[in-house]
Amino acid sequence: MKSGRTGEVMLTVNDLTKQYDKTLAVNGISFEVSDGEIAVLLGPNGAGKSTTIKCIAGMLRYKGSVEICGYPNKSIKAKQVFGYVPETPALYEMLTVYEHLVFIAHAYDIKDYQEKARQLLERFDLLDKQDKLGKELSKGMQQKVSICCALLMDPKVVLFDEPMIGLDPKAIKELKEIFLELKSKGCSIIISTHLIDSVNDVWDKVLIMKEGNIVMSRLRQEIEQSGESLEEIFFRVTEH
Amino acid sequence: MKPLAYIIGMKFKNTVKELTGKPLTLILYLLVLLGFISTIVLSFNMPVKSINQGSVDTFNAIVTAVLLATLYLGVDRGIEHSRSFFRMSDVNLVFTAPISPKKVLIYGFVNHLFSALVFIFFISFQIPNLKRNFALEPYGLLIIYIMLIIYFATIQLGVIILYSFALQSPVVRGWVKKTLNAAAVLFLIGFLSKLLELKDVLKAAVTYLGSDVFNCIPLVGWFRTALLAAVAGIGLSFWLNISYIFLSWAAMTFVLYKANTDYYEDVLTATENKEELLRARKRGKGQTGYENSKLRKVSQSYRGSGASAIFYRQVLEHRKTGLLFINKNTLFIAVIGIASRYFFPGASMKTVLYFSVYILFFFAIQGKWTQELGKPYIYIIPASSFSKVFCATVSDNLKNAVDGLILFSIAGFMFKSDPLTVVLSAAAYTTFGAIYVYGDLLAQRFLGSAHSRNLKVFLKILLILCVILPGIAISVIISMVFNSIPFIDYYSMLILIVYNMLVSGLIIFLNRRIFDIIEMS
Repeated sequence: MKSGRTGEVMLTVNDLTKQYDKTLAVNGISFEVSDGEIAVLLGPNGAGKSTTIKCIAGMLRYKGSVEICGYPNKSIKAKQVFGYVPETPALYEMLTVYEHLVFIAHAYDIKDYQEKARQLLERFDLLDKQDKLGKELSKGMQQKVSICCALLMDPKVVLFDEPMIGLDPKAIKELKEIFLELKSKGCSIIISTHLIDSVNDVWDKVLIMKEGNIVMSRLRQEIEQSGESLEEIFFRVTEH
Repeated sequence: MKPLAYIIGMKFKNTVKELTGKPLTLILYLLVLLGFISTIVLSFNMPVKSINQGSVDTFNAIVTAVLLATLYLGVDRGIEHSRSFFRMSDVNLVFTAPISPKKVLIYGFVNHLFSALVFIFFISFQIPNLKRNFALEPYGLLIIYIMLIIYFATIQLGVIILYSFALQSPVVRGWVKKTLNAAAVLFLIGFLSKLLELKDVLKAAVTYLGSDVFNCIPLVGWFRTALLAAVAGIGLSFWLNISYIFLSWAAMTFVLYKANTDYYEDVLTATENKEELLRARKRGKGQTGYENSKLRKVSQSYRGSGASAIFYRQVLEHRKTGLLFINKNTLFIAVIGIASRYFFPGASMKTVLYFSVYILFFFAIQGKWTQELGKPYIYIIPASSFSKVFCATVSDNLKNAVDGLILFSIAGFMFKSDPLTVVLSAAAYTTFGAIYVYGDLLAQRFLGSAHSRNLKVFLKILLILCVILPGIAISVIISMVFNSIPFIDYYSMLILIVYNMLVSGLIIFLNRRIFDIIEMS
C-alpha cells in the first residue's frame, strides 16, 4: 500500500469513532501515516487526541478500523512493531529502571538488548539511576523510562502521547533528535500534543483536532506554501 | 472560615447533583441511608428478647475495647495518614489563600467527619446484641449514642492537636509513632500474661479489659466511666467524668489556638501520594500494601519471551517483598485464619477454610492480576490474549497455594487433622483464590463500562458469589445426604475443589480473548 507522499503506509486509521457514555470523544476520523513520516495530532484540551492515540495502541474499544503495517492494531504482528509512550508514565513501582528494560526485552523477545539499553539510558541521563525503583523517580524521569521502553524494540511505528510533558530541556532536545533519527530509519511517528512549539522543527504532517473531529489535515509543504505559520492556522481553525 | 464552608457546601451540593444523573448509584446510596436511619431508629424501638445475662464487667470490657481501638486508630491516622486529609485542589487553592492554617486544618478534618457516621453506623448494628445481653437503663441507648459521638469528635480534636505537634519534625513524628506502638505492645503483653494466667480467651479479655488501670488513661477512662451509666445508672461519677471531658475540650481548644501549625510542606508529598492512590482506586485498583516497604535486592532470570515475561516479572516483585511467595500477606492470612478458631465456637478446619476464603477475597482485589490491568504493558505486549491471562495470573495462584499450605499446615496441627484434610483444605483455598482471580475476568468483561467504582465492586461481589455458591451448596448437600458413606468429608471437599477448578477453567476459556474486548481503565 502506498501513500500519496512518502512511501509505504504504516498506519491506517479508518472511520475511528469512540464514545464514552454520552460524550463522543472521537467522531469517525480517518488518516494515514507513511514510513519516515512524523504526524502530529494537534488540538486544544479535550479535542480527542489522547483518546485517538489510546485507540490506535489498542487500549480502548472503538468503532472503525486501525491497521499498523497492514495488520489490525490488536494483532500480535501489529504489536510486535509499534511502541507506545503513554501520556502518564506508568512504571512498575517495585522494578528498577534497568529491570523495566529487561522486562520489555523479554516481553518483545529482543536479543542482545544490553548495549541498546545502555545507549538509551545514557542519552536520557538515566545511567546513574538505573538501579532506582520506579516509585522513586520523578514524573519527568518516569517519562524518560517510558520512552526508553518504547524505543528499545526498534519499532516501525511509535505513538507518543504528550511526550514532552515533564521532560527537562536536554531530554526534549534528545527526543527531537530521536524523532529525526527514527524518521531517517523509515519509522513512522505519531505525536499527540497541544504544545505547537515543541514539534515545530520535526513534523511532516499535521492533523488538527477539535471536538473529536479532524478539522484540518495538511503536509508541511502545503503549510509553508500558504505563508501562514502552524500556530496561526491552529488558532484560526480551532477558535471558530 | 466562610470560603472553606463554601467549598464543603458546594462539594455536598454537587455530589447530590451528580447522583441525580446516576439513578442506579442514587438508589444504592438511598438504600444505605435508609438502612442507616432505620437501624438507629429500630435500635431504640426494636423488641428484643432480653436475656440480660451480661455482667457490668463484660459491658465495661466491650466499652474499653471499642474506646481503645478508636483511640489507637485515630492517633495512628493522625500522625501517619492524616497528612493526606487534603486533596491536591486544597493544596493548590486553599493553602495559598489568605486563610489561617489552623482553620485550614479544621477544614481538613471536617471533610473527614463522615467517618464518624460510618462508626456510628457499625455501632448501631450491635445495639440489639447489647439490648439482649445487658440490662440497659431506659436512657442507656441515648447515653451510648451521645457519648460515642462526643468521643469520636474528641478524638478528632485531639488528633488535630497531635497532628500540629507531630508534624513539627520527622523525629517528633517518629517518637509519637514509637510511643503509640510501644503502648500497643504493652497492651498485648498485658493481655497475653492474663491469658496465660486464666487460660481462657474470653475470661482473660473480660478481666483484662475490665481492669481499673484503663481508668487512668485520659479520655478513655472518663468516657468509659460515663458510658457505664448506660447499665449502672447515672450517678456522681458520671457527672464528674462529663465535667472532665468538657474541661479537656476547653484545654484542647486553647492549645489548638496557641499551636504553631506550619504543616503545609509536610502535607505536600502525602497529598500527592493520596491523589495517586485515589486515581488508582478510581480505576478499580487497590493499594499493593508495599508502597512504603523496603524492597530486597534480588535478580531474576527470564525463561522464554512474550507473555511469560509478565510471570517472571511478577515473581521478581514477589521475591522483592518476601521469601518468594511468602510475605506479610501470608502471615496476616495465617493469623486471621487461625484466630477464626477462637471467633467461632466449635470451629473446625472448614471454619478456618471459609473464614480465610472470605478474607482472601479482599487480598485478591490487590493481587498482581488487578495491578497488571492498570498498566499499559499487558495490553501492548505482542502475545495472545489467552497467554497474557494465563501468565499474568499464575503467580497469584501459586501464592494462594503457598499461603494455603502454610495456613492449613498450622491449622491442621491445631485441630490435629490428618495430612489429607490439610492438603484438600489448602487445595480448596487455592481454587477459591482462582475463582476470585478469574471472576475478575467476568467483572472486567461485563462491568467494564460501569463507571461508578463502588457499584462495580458491589456487582463484582455479587457476581463472584453467584459463581462460588453453587459449588458450596453442592458440596454441603452431598455431605449431608451421603453422611453415612466413609470418608464423605474428603469427597465433599474434593467436589468443591473440582467445581472451583471447572468453573475457573470455563471462565478462562470463555474469556480467552479478553484483551480484544476490555479497555485499560
